[in-house]
Amino acid sequence: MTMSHDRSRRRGGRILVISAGFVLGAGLAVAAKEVVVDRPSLAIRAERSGMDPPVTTVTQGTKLEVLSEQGGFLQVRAPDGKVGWVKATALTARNLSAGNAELVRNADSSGLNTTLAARGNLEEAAQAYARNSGQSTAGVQKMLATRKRLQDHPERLHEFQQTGKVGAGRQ
Amino acid sequence: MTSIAAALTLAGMAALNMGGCATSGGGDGSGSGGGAPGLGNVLGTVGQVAGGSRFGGLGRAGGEAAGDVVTAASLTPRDELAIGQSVAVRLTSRDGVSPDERLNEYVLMVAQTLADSSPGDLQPVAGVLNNDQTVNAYSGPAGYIMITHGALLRMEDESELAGVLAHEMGHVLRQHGLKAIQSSANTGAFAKLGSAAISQQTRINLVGDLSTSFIKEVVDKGYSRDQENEADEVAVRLAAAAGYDPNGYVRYLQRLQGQGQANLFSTHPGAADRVRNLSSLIQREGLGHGQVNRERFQATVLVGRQATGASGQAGAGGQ
Repeated sequence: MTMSHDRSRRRGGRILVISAGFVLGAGLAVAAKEVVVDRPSLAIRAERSGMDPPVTTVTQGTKLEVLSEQGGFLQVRAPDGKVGWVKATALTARNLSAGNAELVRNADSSGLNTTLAARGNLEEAAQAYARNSGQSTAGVQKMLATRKRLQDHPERLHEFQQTGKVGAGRQ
Repeated sequence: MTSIAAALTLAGMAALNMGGCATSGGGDGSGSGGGAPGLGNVLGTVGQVAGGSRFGGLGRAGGEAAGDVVTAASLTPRDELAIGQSVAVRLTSRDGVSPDERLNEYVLMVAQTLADSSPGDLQPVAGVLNNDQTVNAYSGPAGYIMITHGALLRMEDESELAGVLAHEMGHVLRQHGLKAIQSSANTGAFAKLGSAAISQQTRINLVGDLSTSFIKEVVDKGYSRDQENEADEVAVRLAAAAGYDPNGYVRYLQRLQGQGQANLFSTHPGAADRVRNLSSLIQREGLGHGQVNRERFQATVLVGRQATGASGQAGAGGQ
C-alpha cells in the first residue's frame, strides 16, 4: 500500500494511474487510488456487465477516484460525484512496476489482446496464415493504420461524438 | 444460406447476413457467396473484440452465468488476436479495403463509439470491404470488424450503421464465434495449444487451423437463429446505450426485406418475427430515442453510392 505516484499509459489510451493504494484481485497491490482517463471517452456504468446507458461518461484527462476493485473492474467516482464501474484493463501495464503489470495482465488477459491490437502488429501466426494460403496482408495493414491514426488523434473521435451527440457527446 | 441471424457470423468474425443466402456456399470464407446482395453477413462477427473474458466476451465480464462462458483457456490473447487477423486477411485479401480512408475512419469511429458504451474495453479495428457489393458484415476475435461496401450503400443514416456494427459486437460479447470453433473437431487443437511444451511453429500451425475452422464454421455457415436473436437484442441495447436510435437497425432490416435483397427474409420465415420482436423490445423499454445522424452519414457514404449507382433509396429511411 505504498503511495507511489506510478504513472502508466498504454498506447491505445485508457487510464493513467497517478497515485496509490488499493488491492486488486488476488491480493496484489496496485498503485492507484486515482486514475486519469487517457482515452477520448470512457463510460462509467452502474453495473459491471450492464449495457444500460452509463451513469456518466468522462473524457480524456478526467481524474477518477478509485473506490474499490472487484472481478477485474474498478469502482470509481467521477468529478460530478457519480459512482460506477470501469474495466481494470483500462489500466495500462506500461511503466507499472513488475508486480502491478502482472496484476493488470491477470485482471483480464484480454487487456493484452487489446493492447496488441492497438499497437498495430500483425501476429506471426497471422503472417504465416497469409503466407501459407497465398493471401495478402495489405488490407489488414491498412485497417491497422486507420486504427493507429485514430489513436494518435483522439481529438477526432471526441469531435465526432460531440458533433453527433453520441457516446461521450450525448451529455 | 444463413438467416439474417445466421449470416452474421464470421466467427471470430461474424457477419450479419441479411441477404441471406449468399453465404451458403462457399467455403471461401466469404459469407457473401455469390448470391444476391444480402445482409446476410452484414452483422457478422466481430469476434472477440475485447471484452470481459479472455475471448473477448464483452458481456461476460460482469458476472453472467459462468456455465455459459467459453473456457478455452488454452487460447492466449495473442492466439486470439492471430485468429482475428487471419480472418481479416482472408476477407480483405479477397475483397480489398476501401481506398477511401475517410470512409474507413468513419466506420471505425462509429464502432469505437459503440465499444465505448459496452461493458468491456474494446478497441475495434474496422474497415470497409471495397469490392463486395453484397450486404454483409463480419467480425472476428480481437475486434476486427468489416462491413461490405454493398451493405453501406443500402443504408440511410448512421444509426443503421451503428445497429449493424452493434449486432456484430453482440456476437463477440456472447462469444458466438468462439463457441463455434470449440466444436469437437477442434478439441485437439485447443488441447495442444494449452500445452506449454509445444513449439512456436506448432502453435502457429494450430492457430492457422483454428483460423481456417473459424472461417468455415462462422463465416460460411453462420450462426444459429438463437444466436442471431441474441445478437439482435444486444445490437438494440448497445446502439441505444451509445446514444443512437435503435430503430435504425430495424429500419435497415425492413428495407432489405422490402427490396427483396434480403433473400434471407423470404427463405427464413423467422426474420419477420425478429423485426417484430425488436420493435417490441424498443417500445417496451423505451429505447427508441437517439441520434440518427443522417446528414454526415450521407456526406461520407454518398460518394460511393453515386459512383456505383447502387440504390439506397427504397425503404423507410430514417431520419
